[in-house]
Amino acid sequence: MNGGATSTALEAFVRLGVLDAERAAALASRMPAPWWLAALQAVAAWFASLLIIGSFFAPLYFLFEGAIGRVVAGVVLLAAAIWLFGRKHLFTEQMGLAFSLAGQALVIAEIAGVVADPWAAGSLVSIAGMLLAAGMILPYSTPLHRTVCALLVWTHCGVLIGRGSALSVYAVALVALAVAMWLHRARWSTSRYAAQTKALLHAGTLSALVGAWVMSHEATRMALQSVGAVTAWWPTLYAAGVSLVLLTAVGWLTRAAAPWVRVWCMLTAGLYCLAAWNAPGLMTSAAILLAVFQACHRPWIALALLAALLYLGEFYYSLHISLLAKSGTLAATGLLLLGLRAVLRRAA
Amino acid sequence: MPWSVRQIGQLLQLAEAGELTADELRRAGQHAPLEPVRETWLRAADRLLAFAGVLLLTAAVVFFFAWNWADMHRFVKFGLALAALTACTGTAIAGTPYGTVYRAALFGACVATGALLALIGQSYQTGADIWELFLAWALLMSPFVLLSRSAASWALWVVIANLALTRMLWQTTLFGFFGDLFKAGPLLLVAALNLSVLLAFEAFESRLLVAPRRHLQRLASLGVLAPLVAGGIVGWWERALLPVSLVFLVVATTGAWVYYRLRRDLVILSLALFASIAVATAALVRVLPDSADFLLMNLVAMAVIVGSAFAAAWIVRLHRQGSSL
Repeated sequence: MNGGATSTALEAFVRLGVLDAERAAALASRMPAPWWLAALQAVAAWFASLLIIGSFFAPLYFLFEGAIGRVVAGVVLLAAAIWLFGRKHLFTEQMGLAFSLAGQALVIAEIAGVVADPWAAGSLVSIAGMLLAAGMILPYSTPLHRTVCALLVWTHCGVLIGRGSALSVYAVALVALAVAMWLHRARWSTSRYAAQTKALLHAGTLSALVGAWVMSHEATRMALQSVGAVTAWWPTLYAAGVSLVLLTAVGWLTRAAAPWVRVWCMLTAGLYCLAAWNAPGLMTSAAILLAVFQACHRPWIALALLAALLYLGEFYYSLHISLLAKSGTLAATGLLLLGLRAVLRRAA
Repeated sequence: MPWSVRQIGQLLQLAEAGELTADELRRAGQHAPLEPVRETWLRAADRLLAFAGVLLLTAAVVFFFAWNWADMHRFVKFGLALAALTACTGTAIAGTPYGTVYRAALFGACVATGALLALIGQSYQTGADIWELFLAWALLMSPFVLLSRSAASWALWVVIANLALTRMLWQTTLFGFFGDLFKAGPLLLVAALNLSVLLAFEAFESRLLVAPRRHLQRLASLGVLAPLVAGGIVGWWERALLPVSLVFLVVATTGAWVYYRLRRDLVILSLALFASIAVATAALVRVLPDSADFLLMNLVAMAVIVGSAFAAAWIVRLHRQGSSL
């Protein structure tokens, strides 16, 4: 975490002829901010953007009578954010992040205010928010800003879908998208839109893991149920979907293995899906964990494990099955994992 | 020799940032595949499956006792809980000392200890508060934690010890003078507990852990700073919390100096810096006139942006210095 590990990696690249020493030194001086620092910066920018939004609301209400003027002010903030990112300095980038969040919030708040029907307003806000956030991913900005915007895109998309089984399908689609993109990381990493793809992937992975947690969170489930957003099919559809994603991921990862190894791996994955059927969050975490390990993304490996732990905590309180059934589910998955380990050791 | 997981991650990260060309990445791929090799998969699976399997099994035991099966005699339940604990300790004894199985089994013993204590409370309706359960759990699992020298077991111990202390401060009548948690005494006590953990790991990490990686120090530093920041912010308005603000000042300054000069740890240094920005921002809000006008709110926002940008710039520079060849 002090850059020493990075130094060792760059030295290895030079030694093995991937880079020359001069180029490696240049790369070392341009290393991006580590993820934990980006997270702290995001919190600071979020707080600053709240203050900026708060400060802009009152004068805007005095200056402009209609919503159009205030929307224009929001767009000006967004344009300022893009300009600030273009300066490529840490200070202006941090300011750009706060301006972008404030501008997006200002625009969609005004759009929500002009439509009387709450359902229509909700849809309009989601569409506008999604388009705005997607638009802000495109121009040059920091990875943190792009990821926050991508997170807004996925969230608005979920809100737009709103209710019923479609939301379950959307949650599965996010898991599938995240797994597929991580498995092919080496392919798209040098593409022209790698930075944008990366932001969408990081936000999609986070949304997929949070989605699994939300599926179990009792208060959220009840809140969604009260507005008719949850159907009886929701848990089954989600469990079936993520099982399919996990099986596909295992099949893809073992594509070059001997047929009997492949069949054995698929069989084990199938058994795991059956054992964890009542705890689909464990399947989601497993699928994402396999994919991020294949992609060699260490922070996401840790986050996928943490998500599984948090899911387990939430699983205790969910009311969809009894504690005895939950205990059986966990015992079966635990035994299966220990059995798998024993077999792997013997095979190795 | 294949690339390590860290090296592949590094290469792909550079490529995604546009710093590495497709040709350079292809050359790296020619040297060795840009994905984990079979041995890497097996090594990771060995550790993960052992810990995850044990965790799920012991969690199953906890869930089972929480079900509170009325028809099952309590002695049978005790027998099951003790069997789980014995199985874990027995597996550890049979395993290679400090090997994966040994550490995973002792981690399981830590969780099973909690399940057994919860069962005793449930069966005999001891009337004990939840903090007493957590305290007994933390104490009784300590030998397993010390023997295991595993980061997972220590992390569990830190969480349980914090839960015991915070729950005690929240509800106990014995320590009624604390009233509730959000007062100077409780906040300082929580910080002190985590500070002692931090100091213990700084001094004896190689003896407490098989593979020291500084995760525990970072977890403990979060435990030190979180209550102090909360108290430090409110301290500008509540005189009773002023001591917390002062302690925060001392701890953040000392911590920043130690983790910059003596033992470079950029994560803890960043936490100290951003925590200081939060407390300083609260101070700025406190001294400004008591009105939410356009200029003042933007002034505070700018202060946050400038402070966090300078802090980030410095940390990134230190990070890059560590990366330079």
